Amino acid sequence: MSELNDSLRVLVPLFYQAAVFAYWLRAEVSGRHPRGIPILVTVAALLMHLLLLIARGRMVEQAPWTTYYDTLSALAFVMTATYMIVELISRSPSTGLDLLPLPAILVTYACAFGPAEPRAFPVSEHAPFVLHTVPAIGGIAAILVSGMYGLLYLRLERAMRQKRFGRLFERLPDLETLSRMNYAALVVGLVLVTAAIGWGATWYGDLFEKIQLTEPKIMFTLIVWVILLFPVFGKLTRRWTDRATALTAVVSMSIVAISILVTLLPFVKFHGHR
Amino acid sequence: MPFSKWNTLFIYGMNHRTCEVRVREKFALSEEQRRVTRSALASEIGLEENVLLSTCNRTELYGHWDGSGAPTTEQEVLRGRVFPGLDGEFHPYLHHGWNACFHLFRVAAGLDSMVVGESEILRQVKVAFEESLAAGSPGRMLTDLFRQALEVGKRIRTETALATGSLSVAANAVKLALKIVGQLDDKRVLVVGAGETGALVARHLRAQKVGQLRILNRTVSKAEALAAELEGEAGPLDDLRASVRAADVIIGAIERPDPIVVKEILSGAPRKTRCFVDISVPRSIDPLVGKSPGAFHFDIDDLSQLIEQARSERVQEASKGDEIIVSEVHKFLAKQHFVGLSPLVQEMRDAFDEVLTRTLKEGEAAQAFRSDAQRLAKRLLGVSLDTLKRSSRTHITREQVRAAYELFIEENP
Repeated sequence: MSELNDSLRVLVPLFYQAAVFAYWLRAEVSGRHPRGIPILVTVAALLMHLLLLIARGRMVEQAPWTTYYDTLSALAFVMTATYMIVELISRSPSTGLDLLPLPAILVTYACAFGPAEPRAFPVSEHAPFVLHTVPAIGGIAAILVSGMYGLLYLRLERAMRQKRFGRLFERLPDLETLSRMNYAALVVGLVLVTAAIGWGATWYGDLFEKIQLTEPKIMFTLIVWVILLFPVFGKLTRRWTDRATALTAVVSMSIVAISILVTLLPFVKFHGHR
Repeated sequence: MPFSKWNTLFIYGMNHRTCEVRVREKFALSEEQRRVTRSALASEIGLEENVLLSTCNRTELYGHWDGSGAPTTEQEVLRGRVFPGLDGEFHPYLHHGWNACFHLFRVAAGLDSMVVGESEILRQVKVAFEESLAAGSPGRMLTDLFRQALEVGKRIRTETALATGSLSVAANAVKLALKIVGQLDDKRVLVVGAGETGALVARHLRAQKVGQLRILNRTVSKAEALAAELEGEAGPLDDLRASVRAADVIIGAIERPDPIVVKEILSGAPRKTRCFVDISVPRSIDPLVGKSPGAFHFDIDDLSQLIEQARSERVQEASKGDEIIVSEVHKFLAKQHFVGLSPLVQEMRDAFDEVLTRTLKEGEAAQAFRSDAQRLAKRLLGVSLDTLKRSSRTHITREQVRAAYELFIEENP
């Protein structure tokens, strides 16, 4: 298992980078590059990544996201899997070149700087750990994906308002599609984060006497949760434009990114994997 | 001289680059005129093998002088037959041999068209060839040439991006709308104006399976006629306010001195993404509508930008097309050269058969040996022909091949 882990820690980042390169080639050669190759490389990267997660999980007999780096790796896996599903079910032009670099960076960083052997995490032994972390990782991945689509929406909208009909205009899907992807990922993110907060609040009480709402990770997550409610209610009441939704998604993505980074700070205890 | 026979192939004509429209229109020939001209060329000057291509931008005669029948004063002879009464200041072009071949391949690929990459020309080349074929006048060389030209036209459109990106205002107006609101099958589209341009855009929209198409016009009967054709709804300009507020895409194609669609129309309207595309001059949609929440506004200048972009992309692709054409000309040239060797090939076949028959007769061989020997002879001849085929792609002449063959025959009596 250890040898498999060592090999995959090298191969998985390479395959992610190859997938980004394949999407770049497709975008550059404007559709004449065989459509299947980027998808095949990404699926291969995902399968290997799944094997890596399984191998590392088996090594510690715990969920394979017991360290900060392993959490980033899991996050990259969920983001890529989400993107792949969108790519396969939608008929719109590919956005792989825009979405896959982030998971590729995350997984490369995790494999390059993370511990070679996974470490057991005492809290993970508690049964609700998975119930809390699975929706949390899924929710964060969905918010990141939503933010990426929001960013693409804003870039394309800006290009069109400035009457710049260049590569971006030709390459990206239409604004309506980007907006739909942005909103769908945002709703999924809200649902999963709500579940994660719910399980977390229940479970937290079992382990600690007092809930520390001031812990940065909890604080940022609650802020994101509140922010995400606005576009959902705004859309329901038809008072929220696609642009506002895209902006909200980008802001949420930025806060989530900060909340991931703050877990590295020494005073963050519970979410700091220490 | 290599390809001497091949040089008897020629193209004589005029197009949008060499003549003004006032001249071209005089020689834009109808199907009947083309038929008459073709038969006159055959009966009066002996040009039996000919194809006449006539479109709004070009009139071209493709011909092949069989044998040594080419008149020395070719230009004058052709000018009087194909372009009778043409002013002396205009000089049709005349290309021979591979130049003629190169020219036709470019024409078929749309590289020589006024709108580079347009596909209609391929159909017109096909029609010209079929007309000539039906009259029995293209001959072997022109048949090969036109068949290959049609293949080349298709190949270039498949292998290059020459045909991508539209150069029409109407198509680009729809393209912009699609980029904003996505699929149109569940959208409401309003076309203001039922004139020629409005009708063109409406037809493009219908081709995109638009959900609901509404056409407003000053003369309602005109809007109704167009709406009936395109399964849409028609209405007077009085309905403008309500129609704009309900629509997802609004196309302005009406002649008016002042904008008819103004920002105030949208005040208090439900917030949603709306795309305004103004293709009329003077503008019929106030650019300020683009400042309303969720609204995008484009005018004819923006469309020109898209068209110019598509045009420059096509020009870039044209060089790739030319590369393909050069290789296809070589292919055609080699094929024709090999075809030119066919009497010699037949002579070689006969010589092989004669030697074989004589040898077998002398030896009074058994039946089994006889069939083996025939197979062997066939295979040896096949090897020789393959070599000959390969050499025909280089600049080896018929005379050189004959000399080598005669040497071989003399040494092997």
